[in-house]
Amino acid sequence: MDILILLIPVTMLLLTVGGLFFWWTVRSGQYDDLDSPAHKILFDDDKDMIPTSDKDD
Amino acid sequence: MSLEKCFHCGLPNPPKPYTLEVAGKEEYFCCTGCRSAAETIISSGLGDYYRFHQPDQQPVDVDLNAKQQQALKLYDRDDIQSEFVLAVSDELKTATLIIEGVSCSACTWLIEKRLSQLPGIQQAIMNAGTHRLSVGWNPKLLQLSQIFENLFLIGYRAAPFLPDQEEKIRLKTQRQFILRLGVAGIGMMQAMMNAVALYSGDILETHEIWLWWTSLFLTLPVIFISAWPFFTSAYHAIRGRQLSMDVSVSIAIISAFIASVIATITGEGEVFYESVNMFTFFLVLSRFLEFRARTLTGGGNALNGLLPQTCTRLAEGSSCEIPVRDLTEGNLIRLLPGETCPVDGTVEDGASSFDESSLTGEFKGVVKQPGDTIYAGTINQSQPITLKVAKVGSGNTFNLLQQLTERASTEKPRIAELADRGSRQFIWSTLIITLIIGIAWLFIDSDRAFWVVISVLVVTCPCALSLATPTALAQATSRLKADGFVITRGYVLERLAELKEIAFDKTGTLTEGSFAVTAIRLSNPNPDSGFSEQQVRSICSQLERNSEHAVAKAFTGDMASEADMTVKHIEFSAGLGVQGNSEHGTWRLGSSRYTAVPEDEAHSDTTVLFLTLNNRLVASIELQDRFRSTTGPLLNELSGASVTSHVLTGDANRFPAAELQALGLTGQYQAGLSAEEKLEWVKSRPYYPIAVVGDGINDAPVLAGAAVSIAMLNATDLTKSQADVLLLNHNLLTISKALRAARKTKRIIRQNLLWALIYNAIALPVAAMGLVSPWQAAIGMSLSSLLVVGNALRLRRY
Repeated sequence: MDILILLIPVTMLLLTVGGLFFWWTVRSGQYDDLDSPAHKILFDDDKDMIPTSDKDD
Repeated sequence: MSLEKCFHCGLPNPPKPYTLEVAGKEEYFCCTGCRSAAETIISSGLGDYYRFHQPDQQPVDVDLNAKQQQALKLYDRDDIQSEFVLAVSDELKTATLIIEGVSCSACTWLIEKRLSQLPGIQQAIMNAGTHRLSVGWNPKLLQLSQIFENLFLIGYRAAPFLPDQEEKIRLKTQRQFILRLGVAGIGMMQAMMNAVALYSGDILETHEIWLWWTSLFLTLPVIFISAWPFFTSAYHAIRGRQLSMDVSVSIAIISAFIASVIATITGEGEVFYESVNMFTFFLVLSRFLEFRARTLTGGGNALNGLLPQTCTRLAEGSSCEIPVRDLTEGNLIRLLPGETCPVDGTVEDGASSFDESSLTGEFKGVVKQPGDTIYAGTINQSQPITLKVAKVGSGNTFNLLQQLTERASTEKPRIAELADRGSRQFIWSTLIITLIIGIAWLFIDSDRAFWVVISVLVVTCPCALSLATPTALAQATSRLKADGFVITRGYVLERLAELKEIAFDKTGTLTEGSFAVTAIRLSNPNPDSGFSEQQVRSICSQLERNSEHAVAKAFTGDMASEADMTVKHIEFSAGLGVQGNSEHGTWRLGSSRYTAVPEDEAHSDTTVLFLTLNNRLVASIELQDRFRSTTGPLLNELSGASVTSHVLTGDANRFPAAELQALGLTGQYQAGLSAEEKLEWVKSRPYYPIAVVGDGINDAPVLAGAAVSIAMLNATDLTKSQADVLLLNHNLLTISKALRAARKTKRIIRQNLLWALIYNAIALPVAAMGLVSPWQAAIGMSLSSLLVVGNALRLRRY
């Protein structure tokens, strides 16, 4: 279990990196619009790619 | 959709709707505006829009005329763009526009797709929540006016958006909340993982210490980033000799954290890192949800869109289009029918009638002759006139109203939040009791004193208490928002729950705000020799087809039938009526004076128009502003909820009073009030919590001065900016629904507070006797919080 002495610092390091990335995403405004992206996925222009075109109404 | 409803906007169709072939099927439209919007949408290959869209029940304006196109061209000028456009490089400019007419997420899709089809568009991102479009384009390939034009063609109106101070603060606060939430979430999950290892029991002493230290480091960012604003707010509260919820929250977080740190350093005792993290996370979450539900509405620089930015200046016999801000006192400007007057001025030449509804609430036109004063923000209804500029910018009437509004809003008393009031004594008593228990244990068993105090503090932790109010408020706010009742200030629900009186504006609030034909009396009802009602409507609509006057809108649904009778040579007489010729002779439509028909006194509560053919009366037409269908039920529900309803109107006519009382009006009917008098009336009321519902600019000051102000959907932007609540639909019953929700919210908050008190009353003595170990206290605390959150969720239904 002494592997913990290595694993814990590694975890902390990864967490710090993740936390900094998170801070950057907030700073760059990626969370400013929390509603529209959820709707956007519904309007993808993938109609041509869907094989059963008569199913979608 | 169907024959009854407009395919584009969903409004009921006129008897002979406009048609267009869509995907091989005949579809029907209520007006040419909707039809041409649909045509543009279909021909751009965006017909998918109609598979998803929810019609917004607002007809599209008819096509841009040459004059409006000219005005849009002004947006291409550099000095006008400098206010809201950011030139990133030679080939990229960006701007934020606020879009009117967005009703559903399909609209955002449509706008983005349509714009991205234009050459030179670099980006077009529409925010569905705030109705803002951020657009980037290449000025070498595309002009900004073309973007406006294309939006207009698919049925949306755009205006430049300038974020105001409040908006900037909102964005900053939201980012802060997300950062705090994320940090607390990450910290909570990591500390929980450590806690699983710790509580599993089968762990070496050394490993346990390692995990304690790890949890300590994990908790540091949560304390310093997520929980820090609680501490600063608590600090400010204490400095102001107040005890707020944040004080007890801070005491709980800090004491649990410090106890854990001491345990970690000394290596004995208990740690509560995961409790600290979880508590912080839930608290930040509930505060964030409440903040979001309350602030996510349009806003920004409201006045910019309301006043036209350009006007026609006459100088030395020629005229030119100039931006309004280039005007100086004494300039002569030309105002065409349908244009909004940009400045205060006096009529120099010509006569016309003006719609002053934005100032007085009364939409019947006011006749203006040479020498009369024209106010900024009023709309020219009939003839082109020349006016001399009297006041520019800050001195004009429009700005004075705005100043009045601002003053009233600063005078608005701020009531302390319900939670803070209810829990203040509780916090005091907890602190004092804890202190007494601590001192007592110092004598009984000084070794255990510290841990008993921690247990008492944790067990009586105000988590449940502090979550009791925000969770309930957040739930009620977001539920009401889904119903179209958007709360923009935090105190609204609390005040609504205590509401005793509510005052309504009449025109545009209780009524539909536009004339409708209520009766047509034919002077010769014989169908063979006279004209049918249908023919009369058709003639009237043709006579009024080019008019901007409020009366004209009453006939718009009747066009395009009876093509055999074409009325030509239409002439307006300001404030009097209109005349035109057809093969039958000369038609006149207007007041009794204009048509030389003796007025029938019995109908003076309504507006009566007379239609004559070669000076012989053909029909008299009664026009009335109808009450909304939901006015009666609302007044009844209000009196059922023992709330007194009043009506304050700028309209001097007293006749609607009787009708309103029959509908269920329980309070006063005050007619002919100016904006100042309305404000005075509200201030003179004995019961303080009074709500005011309004729409016109003249309601803005009274809205700012009321305890709770509600603005209608069709309200002017200035009015909306003053409102605590925006009503997003025309259903007045939403107000009574909100009243019920507010009362239920108050009940649930009381229940939550009561539960928290009972829990503490039981847990405190047990903990004081030293029977509860700190980790048991933490579990009790969490369960109690969950119960409170669960109770708040009951507000989903009301």
